[in-house]
Order: sequence, then C-alpha cells, then structure tokens
Amino acid sequence: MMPNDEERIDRVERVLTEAYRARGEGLPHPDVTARVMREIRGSRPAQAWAAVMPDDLVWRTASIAAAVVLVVALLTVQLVHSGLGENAPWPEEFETSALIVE
Amino acid sequence: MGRNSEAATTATFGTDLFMGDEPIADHEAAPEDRVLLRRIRQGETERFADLIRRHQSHVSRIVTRRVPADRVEEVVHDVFVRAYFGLAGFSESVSFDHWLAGIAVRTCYDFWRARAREAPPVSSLTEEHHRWIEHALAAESMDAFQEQARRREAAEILEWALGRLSPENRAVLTLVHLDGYPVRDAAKLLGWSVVNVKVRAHRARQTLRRLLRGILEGADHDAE
Repeated sequence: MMPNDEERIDRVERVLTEAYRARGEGLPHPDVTARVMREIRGSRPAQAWAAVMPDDLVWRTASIAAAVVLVVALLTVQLVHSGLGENAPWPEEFETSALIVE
Repeated sequence: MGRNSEAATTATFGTDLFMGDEPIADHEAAPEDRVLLRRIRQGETERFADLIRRHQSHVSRIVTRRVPADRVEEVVHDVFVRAYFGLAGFSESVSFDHWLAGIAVRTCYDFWRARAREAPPVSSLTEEHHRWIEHALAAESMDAFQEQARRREAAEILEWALGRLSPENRAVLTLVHLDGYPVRDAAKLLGWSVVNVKVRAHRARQTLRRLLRGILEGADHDAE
C-alpha cells in the first residue's frame, strides 16, 4: 500500500461514522404506544409476576428461607438425639438397680 | 448533529472520541418517571403508555441507527415490552433513560444475533460504491464531506462492513467507535465486562480497517 493509505482509511472511516450518525435523521419516530399496550394487556398473568416489588421478593424469600432453616435445624437436632440414643451414657447411669441390697 | 459533524471530521476515528448523543450519567430517575413507575407497580398498568410516550423518541434514535429502517418499529416495540416485563429489576438510582438505553442496545444486539443465524450478509460492493469512495476521499470542504456521508452509497458500504462483523463485535464497534461512548459506558449498556468490551472494540476496529483496506485495494472479502 501507498504510505498515505492509512490516512485514506482514516478518512473513509470518518465518512462512514458521519453516515452512521446521519441515519434516520429527519425521519418521524414510530409510535408504538398502542401496540405495546395491547401486548401488555394481553399478558396479564405475567404482569402479576413482573409487578412484584423487589422488597416484597426479599421478604418472601427470607420467610421461606427461615422456614427451611428451622425445619432443617429441627431435623438435625432430632437426628443427633436419636444417634446419641444408642450410646447415651444415661441408660447405664440410670439403670435400674435395687436400692437395697440384701 | 452539528457538534457531532465537527468532531467527526476533525478527530481521527476512534482515537479522539466524543460522547454519543445519549451520554450516560448516573442520574437518578426523573421525578415524573418515578411517579409513573410507582403507579404502574401499584397496578395502574395504563400509566406505562405515558412512560412510552415520554421515552420513545430516545429509544427510536438508538434503534434507528442500529437496525434496518423497515425493522425499527418492531424493535422499538420489543424494547418497551421487555422494559415492562423487566420493571421489577429497575433500580431508581439510575435514570430511566439510561436503563432503557441498555435494553435498546441489547435488543438490537439480539436482533443481529438472530439475523446472523438466519442468513449470511448479502451483496458485495459495486462499481458505484467504489466510485463513491473515490469521491469521499477527494472531498475537500466540510460541505462536500457531509454530502458524501449522506449519500445512499455511504450507508450501504457501512452496512456491508458491519454485516461482516460478528454480532458481538458489531455491537461494540457501534457503541464505542461510531456512537463514541467510553468503553466503561458501553460495557454498562451491554452488561458485559470492561475488559471484554475493550478487547472486542480493538478487534472490531482492526477488522473494519482491514475491510476498508481491502476496498481501497479493490478487493472486498469476508471478515469474520
């Protein structure tokens, strides 16, 4: 390429950038209001989900998480207790024996 | 346009960038938007029409530059439908305009991804386009330069070149090099990392320059 070819590329780039920025100049913008609203009205069930506030979502998630943690904790305690039950020291300690030895 | 034209002709493409038409500032949502959003969230769905009326020219400007003229309305429609169903994720700490701009840019990107799956870029350049390039290179005055930029051939060559980029590189090149957004803002709009956008912006520009070099040498070939 000629030494000034980089400059020629720069120049074409600039014209194309200008062409890009001129796109749609002076053209009227489409009015999509009616079409979008029609689609939204036709999707009511989805809207209920979309309209959930982030705060509500956080509280709902937190409540469910708390309930799950509680259940898991209870189950764990129960399991530990039943596990200990086999080797628990107290059956021996509290093993019934005669109080009065003859 | 005046500011852009001046900057475009005095700055070297991609090296002395200016902010695009819709600079991103971390402004909070406008009070009018906040009121409308609150009412929509309380169940007044019809208020969304007011939001569309307030912002559709802004969205249309972004979309018009990115998709073919006959698909603009469809894409603008998709942007607002996506926005509506994504309202739960909108934080009022940014402007609604900015949030919508991100959705618009990503919807256009999805448009090109779908298009890339459907059909390869069509047509090659004609004699007419090569003649246009000679005229553009010979333009000496600002008026002549702008006149060339407004010619149909300019738009066709641009579309030809962009059509040879991957949808990802096309999205980045458009934002960073053509709109003039800083990399950080482009990354925010696309929801990508800054590094990813920086790397792609560099690669995309190299590809574009390779394509233009090919045209100047009289050979147009596929790029990506």
